[in-house]
Amino acid sequence: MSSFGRALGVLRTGSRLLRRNPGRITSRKASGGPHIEPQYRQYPQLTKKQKIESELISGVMWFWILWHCWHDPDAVLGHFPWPNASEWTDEELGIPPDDEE
Amino acid sequence: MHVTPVLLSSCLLIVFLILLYPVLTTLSPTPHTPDWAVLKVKTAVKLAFFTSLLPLFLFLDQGAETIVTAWTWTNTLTFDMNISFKFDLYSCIFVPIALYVTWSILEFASWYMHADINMNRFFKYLLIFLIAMIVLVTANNMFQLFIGWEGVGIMSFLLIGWWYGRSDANTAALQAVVYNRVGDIGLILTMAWIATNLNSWEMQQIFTVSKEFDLTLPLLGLILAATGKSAQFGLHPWLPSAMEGPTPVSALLHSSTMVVAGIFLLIRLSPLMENNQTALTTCLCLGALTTLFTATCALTQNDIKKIVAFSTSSQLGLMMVTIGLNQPQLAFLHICTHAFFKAMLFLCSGSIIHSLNDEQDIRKMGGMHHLTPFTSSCLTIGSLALTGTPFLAGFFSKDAIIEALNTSYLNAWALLLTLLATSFTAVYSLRVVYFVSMGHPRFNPLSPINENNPSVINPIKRLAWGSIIAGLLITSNIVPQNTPVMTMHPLLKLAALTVTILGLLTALELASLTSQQFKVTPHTPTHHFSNMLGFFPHIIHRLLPKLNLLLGQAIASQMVDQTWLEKSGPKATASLNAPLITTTSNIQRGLVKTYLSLFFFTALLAVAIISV
Amino acid sequence: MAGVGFRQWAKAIAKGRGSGLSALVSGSRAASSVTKDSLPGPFPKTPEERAAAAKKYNLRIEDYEPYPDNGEGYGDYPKLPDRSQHERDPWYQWDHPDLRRNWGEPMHWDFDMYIRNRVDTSPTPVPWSSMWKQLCGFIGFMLFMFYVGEKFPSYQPVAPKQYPYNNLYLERGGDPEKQPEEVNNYEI
Repeated sequence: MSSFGRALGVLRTGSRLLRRNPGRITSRKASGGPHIEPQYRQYPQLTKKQKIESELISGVMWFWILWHCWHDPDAVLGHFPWPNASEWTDEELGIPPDDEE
Repeated sequence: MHVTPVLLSSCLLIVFLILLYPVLTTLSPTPHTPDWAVLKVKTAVKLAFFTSLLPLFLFLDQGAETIVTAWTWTNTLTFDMNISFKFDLYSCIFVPIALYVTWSILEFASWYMHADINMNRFFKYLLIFLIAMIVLVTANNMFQLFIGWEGVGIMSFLLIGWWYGRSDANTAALQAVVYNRVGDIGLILTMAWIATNLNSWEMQQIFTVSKEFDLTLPLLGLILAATGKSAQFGLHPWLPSAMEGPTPVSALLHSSTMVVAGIFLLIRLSPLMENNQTALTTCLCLGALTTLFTATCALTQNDIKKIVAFSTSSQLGLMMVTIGLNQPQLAFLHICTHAFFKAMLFLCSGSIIHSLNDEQDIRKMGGMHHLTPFTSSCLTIGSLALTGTPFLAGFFSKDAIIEALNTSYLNAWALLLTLLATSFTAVYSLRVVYFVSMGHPRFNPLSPINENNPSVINPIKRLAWGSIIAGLLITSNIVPQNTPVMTMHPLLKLAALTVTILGLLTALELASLTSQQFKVTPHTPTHHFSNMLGFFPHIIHRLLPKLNLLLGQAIASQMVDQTWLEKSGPKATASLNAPLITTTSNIQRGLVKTYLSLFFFTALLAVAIISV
Repeated sequence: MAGVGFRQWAKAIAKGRGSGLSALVSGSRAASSVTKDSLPGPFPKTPEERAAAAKKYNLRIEDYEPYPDNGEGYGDYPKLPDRSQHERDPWYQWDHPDLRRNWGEPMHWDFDMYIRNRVDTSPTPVPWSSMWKQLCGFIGFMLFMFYVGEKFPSYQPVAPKQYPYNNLYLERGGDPEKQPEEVNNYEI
């Protein structure tokens, strides 16, 4: 019986070793387990979800910016053209030519 | 009676009740379960947020505004004090935003403060703070506003000093409370002036009656109050010190809600200020000075929370400038958009600080883009929104403010300072992103890096969405009070963007210098000026308390002795009497014969009269 | 056995009365006053007195320096350097870490002023005078430039707005009987 228990223990340890990486990430409920234990010189375990979400939120931001830049550039560049006084002709302004007396 | 105002006011009162319920339940003697904080407080805030959306939609749809005078507190012959709530543009929009931000921050705090044994009390404090803030925002009279004002002040004190075992935290809490007290003097002065001259603390009565008064004195009081609460120049050092508190506190109180209370006060009472040029100019110059000074300080800080704190202070300065331009609505817009991205920046920095084993120095970070991808993405979004990247939240308010600055009649130096501060914003924002997200890791190899927790990701995500789209949503849904100038020279229109891009280029140039070898300790005087916060805390915090305490001791121990014992007490009596005694005895010296003969003659005379 | 018991009882009674009496006597004194041994002693004049005073304050004789005897009541209290507790080593195992103070260590006369959240005297990278000058210079320069900026304001020159319907004459409450002359700003 005891040998059987020991074998089970070995098995359990083995399976824990196999599952170590995902097992370390403790998904915590409101007041469940604490934060993960520090890891020495190891790349943190990132889930695919995290990476996708981070790309997604940046993508949304750029989509938002560029979409608005395309459809609503007025907000940045000005809604109405600024009248350039030097381009107004005398005729438009109703100023008679200089030689007319 | 119409349905809309009833619905509006009852919804907002329900918000109060929902928020008050968890606070009131703490009065019962039964102890709370450890998950009380998340179960009750967070849920209450969430519920309150969704409830407060209904009045918001009613307001946006029908423009419904209402004032509820619930109860007459006390009244005398000429003076009434009521409990009255005002549900107008400002409160209808700000309440949902404050609740949304608080909801996110509470969720984050349930992760960040997890190891704290007093987490329930922490949440209770945050909830009481939130209630005080909503009281302040919805107040329709000065007295109620004052209750909210002091409520947020005292909660700020308690929360900054949360880790009271640390002397630095205590010092920071004391600083906050003392600086706020200076501001409160202004508010009390104004309230006293209003009470004596206008005979009412109700807002609408103040606005109508105040027309024929010279309002300079009370307005300066209000500006002093706003200076204290919103950390404007002169009373600003408490805000960076307040970063000693837990990060959720910094996110909630010292970036998005409490510190804008000062600006909010000025917005609320802006009808008083409209026609007073002195007050407006004071606001403008004070704001411009603050925004530049604090942006300068932010440039060389190394503590990530300090940088974000100084950027908050700088944005508060910008809001003050907007008040000075007599554009309270734009200032309000900036408060709203600023709440989202600044709260998010703090949550991101909290997550990073926690991941790196409580390391706050940005020089010891780096490479977080690969290690905590979501947090650093959001940090970048927040920084971009803060610098006013087009179409993110910050753009809609910041660009509008700069345009208003460019097209108004104002102090040229204030304009220049504000533009300079805007470009500094880009410099320090990029600096944070560069040092935290990019490059190689420079931190301790033993780090508990983990952001993969719904209580971290969800709040940040929610606020990130807010900082992307909130600007457009709010701008397109409120009707501007002042006609915005739409036609302007392209140079003016692009001024905000140009200075920001200039700042970004400078920051890139500076960032490229970091990979080169330079002197280890910088020796430029300007660096010291900026890094040591303009020497302001050093000078003021060392000189004034020392003078005061020495003077106090001199008065208490020496001047009292001098006064009572030496100058007016027994010694004084003695010294007063001594010359008199000497003179008297001198005068009467050698006159015994005269006295005797006088006595003899008088006696002779008496005997003669009697015998005759 | 009984005798011993009685003797003990009597002793206890006597003891109790004694302490009760002394408690009564000390209780009659005002709580605010200072006992004689917590006041500084007279100013030390001879070297022996100095040594005794230094020993009393747990100081070495070289470190002991009393306040000058000019009748301000300092007595033999040691004049310690004006250094705040902030300057002290934060990593040392102080007996009282919050005050950064060891047990039995002499206190500064103004100790309450130099605790960690009041006056800080720690050295700064920049000397005081130059900090002072730079801050004042900054504020002064800013005030001066605001004055200058007020003299030369920034604005965009604009003409008054023109509105249709004779500049909204009727809409602004003008008298419909007396319409003013229409102003034409243009010519076609």
